[in-house]
Amino acid sequence: MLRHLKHLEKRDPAFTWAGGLMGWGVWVAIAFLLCLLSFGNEKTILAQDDPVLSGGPLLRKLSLDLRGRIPARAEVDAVLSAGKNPLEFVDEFIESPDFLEQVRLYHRDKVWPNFDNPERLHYFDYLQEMEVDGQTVYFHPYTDGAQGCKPQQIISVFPYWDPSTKVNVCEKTVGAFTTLSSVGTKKPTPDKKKSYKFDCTRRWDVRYCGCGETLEHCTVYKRTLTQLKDMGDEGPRMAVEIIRLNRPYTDIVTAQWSMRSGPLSHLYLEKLSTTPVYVGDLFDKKWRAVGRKPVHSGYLTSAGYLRRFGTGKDWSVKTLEDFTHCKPLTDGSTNPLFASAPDALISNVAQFHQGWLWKSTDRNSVQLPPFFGFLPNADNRDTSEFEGQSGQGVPAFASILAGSESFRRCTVVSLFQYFVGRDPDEVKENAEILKLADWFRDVNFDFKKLVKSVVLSRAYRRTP
Amino acid sequence: MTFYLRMKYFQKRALGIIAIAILCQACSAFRPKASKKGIDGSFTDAKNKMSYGVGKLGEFAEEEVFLTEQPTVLPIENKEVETTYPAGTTNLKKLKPEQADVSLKQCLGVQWERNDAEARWRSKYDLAFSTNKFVAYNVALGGVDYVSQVKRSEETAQLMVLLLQRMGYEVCSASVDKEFKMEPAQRLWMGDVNENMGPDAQEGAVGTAIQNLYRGCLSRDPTLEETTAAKSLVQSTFSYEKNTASSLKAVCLALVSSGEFMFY
Repeated sequence: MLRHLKHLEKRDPAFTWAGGLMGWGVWVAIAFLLCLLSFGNEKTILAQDDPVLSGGPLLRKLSLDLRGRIPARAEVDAVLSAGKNPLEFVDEFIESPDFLEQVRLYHRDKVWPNFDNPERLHYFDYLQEMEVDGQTVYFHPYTDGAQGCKPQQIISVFPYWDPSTKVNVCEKTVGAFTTLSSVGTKKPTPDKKKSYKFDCTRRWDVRYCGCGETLEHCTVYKRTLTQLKDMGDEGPRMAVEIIRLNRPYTDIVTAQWSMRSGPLSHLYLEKLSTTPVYVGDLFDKKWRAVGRKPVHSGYLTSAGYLRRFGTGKDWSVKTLEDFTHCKPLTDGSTNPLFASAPDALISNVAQFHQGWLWKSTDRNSVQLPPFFGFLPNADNRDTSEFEGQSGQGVPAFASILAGSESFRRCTVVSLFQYFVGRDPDEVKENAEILKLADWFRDVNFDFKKLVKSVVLSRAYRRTP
Repeated sequence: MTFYLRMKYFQKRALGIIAIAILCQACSAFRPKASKKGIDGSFTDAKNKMSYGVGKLGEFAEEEVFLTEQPTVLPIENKEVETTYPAGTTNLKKLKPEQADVSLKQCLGVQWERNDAEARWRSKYDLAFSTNKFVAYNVALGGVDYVSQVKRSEETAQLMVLLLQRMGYEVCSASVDKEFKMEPAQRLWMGDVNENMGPDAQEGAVGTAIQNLYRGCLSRDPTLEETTAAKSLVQSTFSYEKNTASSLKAVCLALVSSGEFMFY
């Protein structure tokens, strides 16, 4: 056996020591060459590629983020043909009206107060429209029936939304049962064989009670949709106004003023009797700032926000998610930037909300959600605590919140997420986010400067 | 026996490979670590103790300092950072339906909308109905209505891809048809392209149209390869369609439905 092996080794140089050494030499040479090549590759990559966006693509990204659209052809030509630096457009973009629209959409996305279903506002009854001889006639489907009324039953009234102009309306729509104590009997119909005794003070019976001499208890569906849309837009419009006037961004949670459109002011005044002034007619889409009672506090007590997140816990969770946590509280992120929110914290914050009590309306004496800014008795509120400070009511909470580190950190993180398109990297960017948050406080919460700072960062301009 | 010999043979080769690995490690240990390059473009030169292009949030790179009026807004000190980002942390963002709507109007001069009789009738009586298809398919395209969808979708669903493909066909078709009805000087991107001439006879005009399309929609010039590919697409489409308009629609479709247009 051994002899046979030795014979083989003599025949095959790969099995000999000399052959082995020769093989080693070849391998060493190859390894040396590989090392050289690896050095060469590194240098080549460093010299050739620049993974930070520049030129036209950077201009496109900036324009889409700051104005919501791609750059105009002239701007592209200025960068590509004239060699202009796209970053020189940042100031122009931030000062443009399109930027304010982006601010509105950003806040709408962030907080999304909204009414999903107008029927929830049960003090509205909707008027339907029909055309008779080319003219619009309003009718109420419950009092006049689904098909409206006959031409001889049409009368004219001055509606509350435009007291100077008559509108045509079915006689029964105006209704006999317009006082609060009205009761009546609904006749049997093919669908419901039994007669039904209704009481206009009950919520579910309002539909049978008519709209009143100026149609004050009803509204037109399309206009109501506009009003509800504006109700959800109140907070984002506040943000736009704050940034337009270069106010500190903390106003978003502390301001005692708010924004109203014509339709919204009508909604609040006619239906809810809270806004002291009209800011325009029912069709006036312009938004104007109005004062509010001292119990109010920025976004946190806007009608849409309070309505959408009606209970103390809902309101607390949403507020913490939007203004201190920057993520859903159930999100399992391990990044310490997204601090955890224990139940005790949620409960404490909810307690600040406690003072917002429900209120009855004259119309149907049912308790309605507290979006009227109604605080009947401040003494009923308990003292609560947030970040080591105590106070009573939402304004006290907002004041603590505005001065807190978590608020400014969350503002920076939110903008980072929005512009960069991802969460901050824990290792590299957390420390910078925290420094930027402190800097944000030092520049008096200037939102535009913060936006500029984020879009000029390398993190933003990094190629995908 | 043969097995024994083979084992002995491979043993020697394995020793060689291990030796190479040790050598490579040694090389990498002695080479300057600064040569490592991060995805964000930052790199450090440990040998010269220099740091280049280290981008941090809130910090202006050296070449941009002249842009700011407030040089004091530099809250972050320069320092070394890690050079690699973990997987899945890209900066890629999807075009929102609102952005796509405005952007297409801007670069192609048309909107993606319904213009049939039923749509006109419905828009008159149904307030929630819109003839704009970006509004109609808002949620399907990743948008939010704040009711059924309150957070923008980061994923690309199959339905979305189909819708965007459909959008590309309709918008490009409408844009090319509209452009050919206009005077060359008034056109947005078609320039001097003549509908009645083949692409071979007007290669320069076609090239300009392709460049206009790239500049208008992607805000950059096409590369040489892209120009060549686009021209060959025009010619191949023309060879069996015999229609310049169809050829340009194909190029437009390729551009509008590309990832570069829909993601930024």
